Amino acid sequence: MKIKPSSSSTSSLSWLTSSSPKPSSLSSKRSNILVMENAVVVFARRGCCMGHVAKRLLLTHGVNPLVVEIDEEDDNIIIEVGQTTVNINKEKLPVMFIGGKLFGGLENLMAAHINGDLLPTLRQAGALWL
Amino acid sequence: MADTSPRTDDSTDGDTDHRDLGSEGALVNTAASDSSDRSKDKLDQKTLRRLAQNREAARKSRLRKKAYVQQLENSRLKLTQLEQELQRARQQGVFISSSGDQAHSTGGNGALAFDAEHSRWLEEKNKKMNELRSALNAHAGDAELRIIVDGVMAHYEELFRIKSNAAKNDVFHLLSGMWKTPAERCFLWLGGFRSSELLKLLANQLEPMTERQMMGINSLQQTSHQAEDALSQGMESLQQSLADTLSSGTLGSSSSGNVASYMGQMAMAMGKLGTLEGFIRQADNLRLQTLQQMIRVLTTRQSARALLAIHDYFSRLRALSSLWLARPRE
Repeated sequence: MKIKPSSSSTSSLSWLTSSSPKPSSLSSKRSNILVMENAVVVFARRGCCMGHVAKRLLLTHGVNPLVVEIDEEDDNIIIEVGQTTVNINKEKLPVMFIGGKLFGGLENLMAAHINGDLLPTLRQAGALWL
Repeated sequence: MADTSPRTDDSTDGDTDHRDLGSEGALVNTAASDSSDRSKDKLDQKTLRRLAQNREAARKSRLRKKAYVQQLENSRLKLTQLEQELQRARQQGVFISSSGDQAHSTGGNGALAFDAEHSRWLEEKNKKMNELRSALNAHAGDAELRIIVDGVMAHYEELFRIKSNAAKNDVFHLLSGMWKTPAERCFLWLGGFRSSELLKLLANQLEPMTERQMMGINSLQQTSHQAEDALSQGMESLQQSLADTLSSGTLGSSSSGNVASYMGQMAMAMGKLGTLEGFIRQADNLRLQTLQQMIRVLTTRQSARALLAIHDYFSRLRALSSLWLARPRE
């Protein structure tokens, strides 16, 4: 499910000009584009079952997230959204981005799912219209 | 127990008396008939003394017998008591030795330490719940109830912290549920209870609820069930990928050239097993989130009743387990 980058994220394309961080098979630039262009992105280790859990949970809301699999040899992911740089430790995966913003790990997703915050967040991100 | 022994003694003593009287009575009778007939053969002092001695000996014998029977009765009671203790110890012994073995095979005595910590937690919880129960019965105010409810919730958080630490040590012990009673284990899901099932039990206990609360609890039950399903599916995919990893490549061949790939396989499988700890943590996170949301939906008084109902439910499961373990087997 794709959305146009939200207004706040289009205002700055700093990630295009900033000096590239360490090279990795999943380039920071590519991660940025993925996060900007998809309403819901899950970064997970390749074959990780927790990533699977996150995806299943999102699917119960009718949202099919983009799952970006990170390989063992990949570096930590650095994502620049607007002026802020998000550095994701590989140990903390899976990590979710909703509407181009860092949403958090599986704990956060679970908590939002239980307390009812997840649906409005998904709607706001344009991942759900209903 | 104390009043049964004298009664038994009396009856045994009674028998003894009859038998004693049988022999002594004859003597006494002769003595009586002799004494009634004073004019004739007078019994000399010697005979009288002998009779007195005889009577005394019989009395002493009765007393000794009484003491002996009393002693037997006490021993019998003690034996029953010891047998009961032995049976209890056996039941616990089986539990300790099995979890001990497990600790041995999966690294350190983390399992035993956790079991001890968990039973301390349970004791503390019983205290808190008794406090909550008496506050509810005494119609305490909301402010007072709120403090106790918050305390109980903090106590649950403590449990999940303890479990998370223990899972780092021995995740299989936590998943096995050997730290719970057998009947509790029957309902075990990812090292604990299913929150959606608890909410189902509560639905009837919290009347009256407003329309909004009813919807809140229903939807909470649904969302926690969805989250449980997501975690269960994650576990399934873990098992699948573990099986795939272990069976991939050269299953069955044992040439030395495959040692490296074998070790690589094992390393990958180890990495996957490492995820299990995460599953326990996430499942406990779900349990905590569900309880917290439940309390947000309910009033303070309803929350107190809900927590008590959950507590009582688990107490009954544990009581059921004790009964089951103590059932006559033959």
